[in-house]
Amino acid sequence: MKKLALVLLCAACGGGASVARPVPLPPSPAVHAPTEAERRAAVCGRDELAPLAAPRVASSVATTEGGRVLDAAVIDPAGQPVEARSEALAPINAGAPFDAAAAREATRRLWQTGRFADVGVEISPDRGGVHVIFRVTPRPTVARVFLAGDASNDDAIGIGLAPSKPYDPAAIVTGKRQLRESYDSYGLIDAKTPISSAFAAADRSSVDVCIRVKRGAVVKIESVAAHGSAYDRELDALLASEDTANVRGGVVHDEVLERDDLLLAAALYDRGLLSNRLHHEVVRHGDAIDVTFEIVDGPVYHYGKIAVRGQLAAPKAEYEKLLPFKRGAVFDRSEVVKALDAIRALDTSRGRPDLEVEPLTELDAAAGTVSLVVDVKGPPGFSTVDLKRGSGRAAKSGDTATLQYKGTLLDGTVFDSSAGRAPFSFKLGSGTVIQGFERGVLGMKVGGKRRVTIPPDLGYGQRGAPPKIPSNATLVFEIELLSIQ
Amino acid sequence: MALRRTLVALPQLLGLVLFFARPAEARTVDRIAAIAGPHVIMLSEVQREAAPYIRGIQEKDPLARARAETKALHEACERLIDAALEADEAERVHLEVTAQEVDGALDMLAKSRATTREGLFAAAAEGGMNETAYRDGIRRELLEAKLLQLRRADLTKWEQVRAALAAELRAKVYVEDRISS
Repeated sequence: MKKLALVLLCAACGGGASVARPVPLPPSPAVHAPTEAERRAAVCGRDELAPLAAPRVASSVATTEGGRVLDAAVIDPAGQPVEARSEALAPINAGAPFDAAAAREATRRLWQTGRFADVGVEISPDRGGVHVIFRVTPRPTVARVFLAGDASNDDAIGIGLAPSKPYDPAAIVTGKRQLRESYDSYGLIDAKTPISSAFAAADRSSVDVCIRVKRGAVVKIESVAAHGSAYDRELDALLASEDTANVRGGVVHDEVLERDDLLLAAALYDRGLLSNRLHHEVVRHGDAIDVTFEIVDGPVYHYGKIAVRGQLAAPKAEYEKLLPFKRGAVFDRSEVVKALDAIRALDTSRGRPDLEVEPLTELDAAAGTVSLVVDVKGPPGFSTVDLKRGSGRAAKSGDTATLQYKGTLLDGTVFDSSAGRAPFSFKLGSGTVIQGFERGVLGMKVGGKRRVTIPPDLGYGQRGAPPKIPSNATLVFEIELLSIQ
Repeated sequence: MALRRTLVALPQLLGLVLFFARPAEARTVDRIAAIAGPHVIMLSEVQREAAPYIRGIQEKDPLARARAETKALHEACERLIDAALEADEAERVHLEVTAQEVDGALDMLAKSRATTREGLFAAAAEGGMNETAYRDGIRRELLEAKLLQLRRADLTKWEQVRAALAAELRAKVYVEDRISS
């Protein structure tokens, strides 16, 4: 009995002077390392991209519990700390109660670094609080890039694929679309450009990618013509004169087709055909294409009421002189465009280049007339539009508001944004921000999103804030209120 | 005397015990559930979206119930993916839904059901959905309707055109749903 116990003990200790005879292991099955050709065939034979993380059954997570945050750390699956930019963890405040929304924001920021395939949030209760742990899985790297069919190295470079680079399926999807558009632009509209990938190692640390291209034949335009209008001949001449892309012998460009739609519509409006219907058809036969602009003219419209209104910079009569259209005459878009330009010039000559001139038209189908009212408008004043209402109490003077924002000029140019940075905090009523911004935040509730239009006198005024904000600029902010304290 | 010594030493002992006590196991409280283009959708968000559906599951058999819950979570995740992509598309074409439009839709809905806004919120709350989530759902539907109108889709075939829009938007970006169906 004693001997048996000794044998068992020594078998367990696995070394030293064992009295037990080692049990021979069964021969391991032959491991066949795939050849390069086999690997290529396997990856190129797939129709999909390897996911960054495999789907799994969703286990329940509860984010309501927590306690005071002691600290936050980013660690890899082996438990080793991972260096992360401080902005990524900025939403997590040590000493504050654990906030699930802040943890979500931090997770998003870690993801946006492009370094990780997965991020999980863990909390580890400890004395008087919780440690917040972001467990990250590093992204795989690209091991090999296989080119098949007509694919070239340029295709791989265009997509940004190269060995040892991080595997980014999102960039591959974008690159694949660009590759497709590139082939289209050469008339290779039948080109097939699938891209597939598969893990190269069992531990999912690397990925092989395959770009397959089948070019097909070049498909060229056989004819371009307008059809169905009383002005087909003039419209055909217009298409031929305005464009050197979508013509016989060329290749179809969608953006040129859309521009031609607008060009023809404008020509029809110049002839009073304001309710025309127009669409283009691209018909393929073999390796050739016919482009037809199908048109229904509709009735001819004549001028009805003509007026000018709004913040006029000169006597009304001066504006009316610039609108010489006669009631009952056939409407002409080009004439109206010229008149509007003349009105803008008048405003500028009177020191008001900031005025906007907007034509408002209304069709009376029964009478066959179109009324034209020219609206002269000043820059917008202060206004707010709630895009999303929040909940809880409204922000008031004395509160500290924490928010995300994006500031744009009226032409849409973004001059400032908190995206990618820590949320912005300020005390309402403290005068630390421009007046219009403060007024815009007052009354917002947490979770709400608001668009605030700020005239120059409540913004940066005549001085502006060079180089991004010009003099007398109207500013538009989109603000999302995250918290008030 | 012995008792007094013990009482005096108790705080130190307790301190030692607390000092050497191992922190409780770390517990996962959230994780990435899906990638939709530039967006990250978290599991907690999927659970919130799925909550009313899970609450409505009638299955008694534990296995069938688990299966139904998994399905509800997967479907909720898919809805959130589509909503994120639609929001991006709406921004691209400068479409938006204002809070006033959401209020208007709520009033219309309330009228059609012979109730009030509060009545709608109360009914939603019974199903496990708070006012914010209910408003978000209405906003999403309005935005979707605007997107489809812009494309002159045949709105009598609502489900078909919505599915076509979702497929079109998904084809443009990388989508990864990490919740198994």
